[in-house]
Amino acid sequence: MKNRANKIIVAFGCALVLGLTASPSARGAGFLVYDVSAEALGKGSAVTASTNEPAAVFFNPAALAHMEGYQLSLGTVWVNANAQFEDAATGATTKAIPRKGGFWLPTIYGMARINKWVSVGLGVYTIFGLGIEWPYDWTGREHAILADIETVTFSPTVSVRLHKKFSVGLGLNVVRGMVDMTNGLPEAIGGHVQIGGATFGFGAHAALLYRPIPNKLHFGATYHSRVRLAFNGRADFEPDHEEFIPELQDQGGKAVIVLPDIISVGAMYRPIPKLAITYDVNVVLWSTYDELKLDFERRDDQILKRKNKNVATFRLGFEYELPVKGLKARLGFIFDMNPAPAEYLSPSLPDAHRIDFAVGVGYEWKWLKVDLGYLFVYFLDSKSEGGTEGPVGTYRSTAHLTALTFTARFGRGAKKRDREQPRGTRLAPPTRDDPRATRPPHRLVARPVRPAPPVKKRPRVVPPAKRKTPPATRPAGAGEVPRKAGGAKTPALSRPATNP
Amino acid sequence: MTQAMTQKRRAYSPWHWQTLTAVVFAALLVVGAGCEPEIGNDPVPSFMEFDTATGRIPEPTVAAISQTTGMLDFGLLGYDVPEEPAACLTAAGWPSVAECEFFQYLETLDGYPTLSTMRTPANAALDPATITYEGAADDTLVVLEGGFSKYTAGDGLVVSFNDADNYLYIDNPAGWEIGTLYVGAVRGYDNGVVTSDGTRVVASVIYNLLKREESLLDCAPDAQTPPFYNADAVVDDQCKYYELIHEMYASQFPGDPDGLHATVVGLLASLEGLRQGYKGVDGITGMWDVIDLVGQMAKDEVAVAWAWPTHTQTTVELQPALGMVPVAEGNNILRLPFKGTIDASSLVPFTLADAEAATVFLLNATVVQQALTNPALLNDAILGFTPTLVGNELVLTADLPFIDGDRHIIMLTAKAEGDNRPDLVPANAGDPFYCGVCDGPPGEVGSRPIVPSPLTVYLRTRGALVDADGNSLVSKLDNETAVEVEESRLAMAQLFDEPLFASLTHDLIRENVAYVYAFNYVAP
Repeated sequence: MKNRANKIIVAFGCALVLGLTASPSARGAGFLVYDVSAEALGKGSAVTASTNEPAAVFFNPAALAHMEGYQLSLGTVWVNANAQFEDAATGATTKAIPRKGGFWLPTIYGMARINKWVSVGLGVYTIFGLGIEWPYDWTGREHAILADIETVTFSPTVSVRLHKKFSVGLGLNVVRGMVDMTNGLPEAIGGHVQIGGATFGFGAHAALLYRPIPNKLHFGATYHSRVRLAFNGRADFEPDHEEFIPELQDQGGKAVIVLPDIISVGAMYRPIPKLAITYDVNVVLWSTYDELKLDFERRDDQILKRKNKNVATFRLGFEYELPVKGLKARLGFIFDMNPAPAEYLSPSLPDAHRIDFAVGVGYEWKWLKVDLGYLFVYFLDSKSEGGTEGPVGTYRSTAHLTALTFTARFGRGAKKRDREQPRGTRLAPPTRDDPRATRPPHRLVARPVRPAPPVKKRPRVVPPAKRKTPPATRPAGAGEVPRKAGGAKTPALSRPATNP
Repeated sequence: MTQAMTQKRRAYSPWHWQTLTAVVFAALLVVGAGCEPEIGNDPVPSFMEFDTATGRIPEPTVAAISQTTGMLDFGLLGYDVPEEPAACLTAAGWPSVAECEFFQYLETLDGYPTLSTMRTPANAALDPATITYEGAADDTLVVLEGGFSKYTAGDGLVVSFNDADNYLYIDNPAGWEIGTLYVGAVRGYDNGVVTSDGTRVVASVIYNLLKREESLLDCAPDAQTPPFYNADAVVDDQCKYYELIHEMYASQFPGDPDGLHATVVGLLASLEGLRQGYKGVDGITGMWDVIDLVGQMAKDEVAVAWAWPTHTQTTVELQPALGMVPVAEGNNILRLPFKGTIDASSLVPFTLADAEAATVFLLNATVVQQALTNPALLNDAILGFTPTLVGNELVLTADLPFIDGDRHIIMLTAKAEGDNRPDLVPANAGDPFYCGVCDGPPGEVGSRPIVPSPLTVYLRTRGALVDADGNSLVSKLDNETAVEVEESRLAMAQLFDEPLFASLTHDLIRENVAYVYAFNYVAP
């Protein structure tokens, strides 16, 4: 009973952490998934210099040093992709089987300010993954029927503000990788082989953020190191004919996949306080994915050549504060280069140059922020040549990404106040370049006030020396209070006018 | 002061939230560590072997019959058998001269000897209790004669499994009939034999290919029919079966792509020939159908099945272990049972005056030995007799009684390659049993003389049958039998190598001997 309960827990946890994280190949150059936040996605993820949310754990941890309080971000990116292959020889078109319900990538981040200079962050996200499934009997079945690479990165980070305009960040990447691939066996044998395994890999990332004009001009850079995933898994051969089982015995196997280095540089500029323009360039060192060597226990090694190249991605984003308080609109454009050469293009990852368009909105209310983003990915036609790693033909794909993120902010100072403001002071009047200038100018508001009480005039007291005749002494009348000699009754002080 | 301190502390995140977050992330990390894909692990069945590289194949096999000559040709199975009679003395790659000469003898046959042992290998020891041949529908072993009748336990077959070499052996003490096709099949899979540890037994990869409905030369439509002369021209790596066979044999030809290609093409062509034979073509019932109809074993249940023909040529059986020896009658009659037919006119007794034309020899070996030093005794060494045919027996009636205690020798001769000696020939020679397109004139009586039985070949061979340690040097004899036969061989060798004998018999050579038997006559 206990074991069963444990298994259920593990299965649920796997589904939560990994089971939904496979991303179709139609995401990111190669199998890089760069859109791990709804806010960023809406801006084409051009946020290296401008990120101001817990997802900075990934995009630029140096930005954490400028964030307040404690923030927790929970979200997901929902991915739907379509791919098809046109056989060059026959003209027949084969469509990849779309995953029912699409793919759901978790995006979980948290950050906390430790003191005036140091902030820490934690992130659980997927930046590398692919998932594609072709019909079982399609022409390229020996190269791929099902390809599923899932990774989840657990990333603790620390950020230090060295100067009010300069901060650095450093993080550790603990990557859990899982691969599950099914390829068809040669036609004479029939059936398929399933190869899978899981492993941990480790890497690191570092970042810096330079804000020459805070909130107006920023420059940022982030480096994510490569991560070596050494899988030690198993191969399950399922030939159509039982007679082949002794020749194709299930056995262990090893494979190494090196996730590439990512170098990101970006800039943010606000020509006007309401508008932020961001630009990023990512350089991904895909040459680490040169070949995939399957080292079987009892069979000859199988080498799948990939020969990927280092490529760049160009991102342009816009964010505009709308007249409605707390509401922002976003727009993004991306050009993604294809790292896979045509002669080594595989149906497990039918990559291509991509042109992406993104839109997004975000709304802040008190301690809660909600962001929604949508990204359309258009793959340019990608031709596969040579036939050694895949059938000869043309791939065509599109993808749709929808991201939703909820961010909660706790702790005093975790709201909109900028870190540069000293605590406890009144807000300085906004200047033209100050984002606060977007708020309506501070002015007296006519409010109904209680009428001020009548001001009693203080009678003038005449010094005795100036009196000409002595005051008549008369007996107090009835009901009169006999006056003191020498002075009138001291009047009450008037109440000063109330400051509105 | 207190209020200010409280405010300052609250400017940073509360520690309990940080701790909680760290715990949640750590929990996710632990859960993630337990995630792995589910990969199956299937049990591995055992199988009945068919490996031409190691020679572990069912035997005898029709695969060694040449489609062009109708004769046995072990070159089809990868053996390099010399053609010249004495070439085995210097031929390389053979474990012994005797083994080489035995295969030379086999290639003079159009089928296998009638005293052949059927055997088939497995890659693991079979449970003998699961090998049944009771004549029931669920028998796991089926032996068919001529495609019409099934052997049962009461028919005298001797079935055994040898754990030392993992071979299933089937012997017929009465000998197989000549000119007959025999079929053996073993049932595997769900209701078949199992190994001694209970593992399921299936067919080999090669037999899976033989069971295919489509041609193994699927990309060579012109090579679909025997003898596949043009298979080499059209079979290439675009054929899906080419890729499969290529991968199976690649490790045996490192750095020799041409040799590998030739092997792959040759194997594909021969397998296709077999496949068609198993399937049945041009209205001829295939072996699968025969096994199904007569043996009650469906193709999908067959772990191994093989067919082999016995030779059509007449033979005089010789196998003392089975009692197949001449029978003495009275003091001057010997009866030799034979299989097939003999043309009585070809029975020419040996005499000194007509040595050249003789086909039947009856000698007193003891006197021959004495005659080596005393030629005057030579005439006494040659016994006068009259050979006749009585049913399936060759009866030799000596003119004089046999001498008690003397060693006597009977020899029958056949023409060897390249000489002009006469042959004992069959009375009527039909077509070779298995001959697709034969070059030779199968109908001519003179072209198909009687052939020796295997023991005669061992007795006449030039090479030793055992080594210095008493181990057999021939594949068909076990150590004990090889030692016994070697003693007789040495005695015969003295006779064959004696120049006087050659001159006496007018250049009779070992290859001419179709039957030889030496015995010490003991008067009743």
